[in-house]
Amino acid sequence: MTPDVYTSLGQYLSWLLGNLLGAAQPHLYFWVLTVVILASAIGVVTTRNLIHAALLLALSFIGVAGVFVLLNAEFLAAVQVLVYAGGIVTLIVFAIMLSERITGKKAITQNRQSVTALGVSVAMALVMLMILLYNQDGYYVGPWRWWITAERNEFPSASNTMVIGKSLMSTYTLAFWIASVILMLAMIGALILARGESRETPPVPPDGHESGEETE
Amino acid sequence: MELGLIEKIFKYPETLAHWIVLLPFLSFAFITLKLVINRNVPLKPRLKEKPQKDPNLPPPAWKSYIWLIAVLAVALAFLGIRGGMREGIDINIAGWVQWIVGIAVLVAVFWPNNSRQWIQKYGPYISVAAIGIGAVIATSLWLKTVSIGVYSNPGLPDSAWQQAFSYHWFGFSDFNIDIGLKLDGFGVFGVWMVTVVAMCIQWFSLGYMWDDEYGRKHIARYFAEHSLFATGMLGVVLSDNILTFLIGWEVMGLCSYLLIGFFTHKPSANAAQLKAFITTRIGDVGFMLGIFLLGLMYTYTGFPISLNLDDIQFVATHFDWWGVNLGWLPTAAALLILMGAIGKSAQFPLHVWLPDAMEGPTPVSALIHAATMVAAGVFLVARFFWLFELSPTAMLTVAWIGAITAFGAATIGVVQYDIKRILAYSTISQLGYMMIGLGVGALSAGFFHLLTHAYFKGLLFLGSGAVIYGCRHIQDIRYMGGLSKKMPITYLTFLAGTLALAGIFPFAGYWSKDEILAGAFNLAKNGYQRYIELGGDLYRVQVIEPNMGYLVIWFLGVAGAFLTAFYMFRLISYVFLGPNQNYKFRGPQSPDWGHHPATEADTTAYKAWPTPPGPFDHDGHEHADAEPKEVPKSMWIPLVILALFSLLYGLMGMPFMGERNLIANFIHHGHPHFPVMDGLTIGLMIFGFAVALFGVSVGLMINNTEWGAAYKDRLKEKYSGLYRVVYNKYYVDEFYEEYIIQPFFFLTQVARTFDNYVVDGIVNAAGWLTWQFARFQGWWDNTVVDGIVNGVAWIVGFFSDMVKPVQSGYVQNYMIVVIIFVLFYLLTLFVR
Amino acid sequence: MTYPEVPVPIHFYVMLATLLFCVGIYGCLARRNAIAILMSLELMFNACNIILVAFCQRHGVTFTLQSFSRAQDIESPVGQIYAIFVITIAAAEAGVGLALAIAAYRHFKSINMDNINILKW
Repeated sequence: MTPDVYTSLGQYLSWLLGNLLGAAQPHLYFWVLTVVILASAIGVVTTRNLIHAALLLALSFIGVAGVFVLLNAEFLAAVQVLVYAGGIVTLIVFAIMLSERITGKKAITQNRQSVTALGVSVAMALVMLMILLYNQDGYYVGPWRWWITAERNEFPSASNTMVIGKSLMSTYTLAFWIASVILMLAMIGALILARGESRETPPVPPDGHESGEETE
Repeated sequence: MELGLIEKIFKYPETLAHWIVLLPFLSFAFITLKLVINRNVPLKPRLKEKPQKDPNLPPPAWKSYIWLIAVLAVALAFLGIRGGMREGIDINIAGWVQWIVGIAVLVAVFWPNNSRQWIQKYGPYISVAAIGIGAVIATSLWLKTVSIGVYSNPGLPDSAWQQAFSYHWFGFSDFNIDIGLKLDGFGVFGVWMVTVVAMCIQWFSLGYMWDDEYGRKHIARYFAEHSLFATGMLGVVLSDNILTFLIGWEVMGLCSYLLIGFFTHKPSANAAQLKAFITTRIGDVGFMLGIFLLGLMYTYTGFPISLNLDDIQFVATHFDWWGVNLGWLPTAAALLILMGAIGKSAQFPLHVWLPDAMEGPTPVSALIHAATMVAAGVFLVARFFWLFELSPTAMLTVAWIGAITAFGAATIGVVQYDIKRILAYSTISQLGYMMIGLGVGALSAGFFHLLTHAYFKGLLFLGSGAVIYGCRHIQDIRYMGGLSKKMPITYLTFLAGTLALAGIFPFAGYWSKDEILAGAFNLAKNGYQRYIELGGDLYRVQVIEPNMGYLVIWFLGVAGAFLTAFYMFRLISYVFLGPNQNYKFRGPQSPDWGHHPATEADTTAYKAWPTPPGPFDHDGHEHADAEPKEVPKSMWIPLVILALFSLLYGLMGMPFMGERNLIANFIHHGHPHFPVMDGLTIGLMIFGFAVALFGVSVGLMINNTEWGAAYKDRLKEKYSGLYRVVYNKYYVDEFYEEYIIQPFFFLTQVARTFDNYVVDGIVNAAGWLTWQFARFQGWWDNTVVDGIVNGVAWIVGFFSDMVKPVQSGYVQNYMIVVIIFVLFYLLTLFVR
Repeated sequence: MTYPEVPVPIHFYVMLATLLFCVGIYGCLARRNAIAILMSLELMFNACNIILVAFCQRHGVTFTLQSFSRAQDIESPVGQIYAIFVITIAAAEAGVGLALAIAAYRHFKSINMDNINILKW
């Protein structure tokens, strides 16, 4: 069946609002999650307080986990929450605690190339979006057309966890093993790095200047 | 055919002819090597004490005859040995014997037996033995030559006589040097003369040099130089090509230099040796230029160049075969070669070295300046007589120079008071006679006079040496007198030589001098004709027209003969006749006495010296107060030999002999010319004898009688100016000093100034320029080059400063760059 | 499981991921704190994961799954597995990175990336 082709934002919005409790519910969930993710991401890169940033990061991760659920990847969503929001953010918080004077002067969060970075990232976003939204002939086709040329998969997906488990143990065993080795190496490396150097080495004073006197 | 040594000496001496030259050279080399390898190895200690020999005494007399014993021993040893005779260069000793001899010689050279003393003791005998063996071979050679030539092959032309050997030394296509010995009339007679005279003189020197302290210490060097001199002269006499002739010539020049300056501690000897060498060198320049001109002649005629004297003669005399007119070449070449003869034979312009050469020991004067070396100049003219024949100018030049020299030197000799100086001027005068003989065309006469002169002049010099020896090295004749009783043998031999020199009838000098004067007379009467061979016939071509003006030459010769007889008997009167003077000064003062410091010492010299204690004076001689003594036997035996030669040698050249005249048979120029005994000849002979007798009588009378002495004093007062001029040798030395040597030194100063200012200026300027250039280069290098380098570096630094900040060390900068590039990539994807 | 009638177009997911990625880029480039940079890095990882899973679901392949006695063709979870690995590696990298940050802090006494530029010219 070919549903209607939404050709504009207005049409989409009207359909969305019209089927809010029906067919458009995934859309709603999607948009909510989008807002959550993007807002918390912007908060991560903007906020002055690092702990806030870490927690906003956790929020972002949870949002992404929701997106995974929307995409029928429940196991992955669980892994995301567990590993990312649970482990990595904890790690980050610990690192923050070990390294930064949390209370203290009001530091500048952006460095001197922030404008350039903003420009670059905006340009990047624009370029990528343009690639996405323009077709081969150079015409704007927009994201509202939902007639996809590729065939939708009509086969059912098996239980996500079982399928992933079987695949990991059979088809992707090598990658699994390599990943485990990498994890071990990372553990060892992190141990060594974080253990600290010998007390005799005098620390090299930073070449830069705290006050921000930059050469050139 | 195998021959033993004895056979070779007596039957085929021409095979040993090269030994005549080689033996003295080997003795020179041996003595020199021994002197140089001076190893003062101490002698082995003697078991019992040997009685000390007094080194000041001469060696015992029997040691003089060691050479004879050695010669006999060698001859006996080789009697039974038959050696193979090879063609070409033949060593004449059997193969294994030559090895033994060679090794023995080497051992003897290097044997460490305190060589300096050994060679001083035995070197002289080796030298005398070498020349003695040469004399034996030469005598045998002469005998064979004379016997064959006269009785079997009369009239052989010179150049076809005999080539002893010829060795192709080196050469390439057009030019060959063949060295060899030529035994023609000149060669055989000459070599007989040289070896006999040299042997007698060396024999005499054994005793003479031992008498002097310096001579005793350096006697080996003396004999080495003596042997080398003999080698040189024999090389000149026997050579068949111009190269070895020149080599021998130069060797003789060197040895005369060395021997005149034998007494190295005497500054007058040093000056004299330099004077001799340089003066003869001036002549040698002309000689070599003459040779080069003769070489030029080869380019005119197109012959391949050869150094052989016969080849040169052939080409020059047959040049008209090819229609080539040589023009001025023979005259110029002859005059230049004459220059060499003038230098070596002390003719008029270059005669100044010979009187000063008396600074050397007396036997040296005998050998070099009486008998042999000065004869080499005459020998040169004789060898190149064909060249002089081609040019009448040259012949007349020779004759006139000879005449002037003969007369002028005789006049100087009359007024000298040093016994050796009188004999020196006599030598110059007699050489002038030889030149007269060659110049007027009487080649055989001139050469005959050379031969006879060698004997009697050598005898006279040795006799004077004996006199000097006997009088304890006094040379001024005014201190001598009455020696005939104290030194009878010396007196008799000296008298024999004087008679020969003065030209008294049967003695040697008479025949030769008389022939020369006859030749001069003949030139005036008939001129000179040259023989030309054309188609097998001999034609005579008049070269010099008869001219009564040439009688002047004859007259000068006659006057010289008179003066010769006069001064020789004056010498005898002073030295031998009269009562014993006991070294009291009896003679007249020199004309410069009172004005010239040197002559003031004449009367006071010997008495002024402080008398050291002991029987010997400061020269190691017995005191001048001692009586004159006769020479020992080792010294008068050579005198007797030479006296015999002086008396009898002339007989072989007597004109009476006609066809059997030995001299005319062998010493001729292409064809023998036998003197004809016609009225004119006999008249001239008697006239010459009369002149000589007149001179003898005048000499005896003036010097031995009271009225003679008074007459002499009157003459000296009347002609005191002329007397002074003649006494001072016509001031020739002073002329040279003033007008040749001083300008030369002035030129030297000019050259030195030039060198100092101009040449050094140029060099310094070059240095200054280099310095300026270096400064510029330094500036350039510092400013420009370094500027460029620094500029490049600055540019690099400038751009790198521009680029540097890229590497900020700041990771986020790098990340931005990465992302910007990714952006561009995406844009390309997008833009397509 | 049935698919909804009007699924969310994949473009939306891609746009989301793109915006999240660019936010992460901005945070990487513009933050001074090293740990903040690492956090931004995690954001970027998440964006990649979203895209991976979205494409897996929408344009995936099928494979035969042997399950006990029956075989059925199901969609391949390759995207999700890819995302799992990304998460794993991201976790490892975060650990190492934070250890580095701590070590750098000890060395430089400051965590500001501004001051860590020793390797400059």
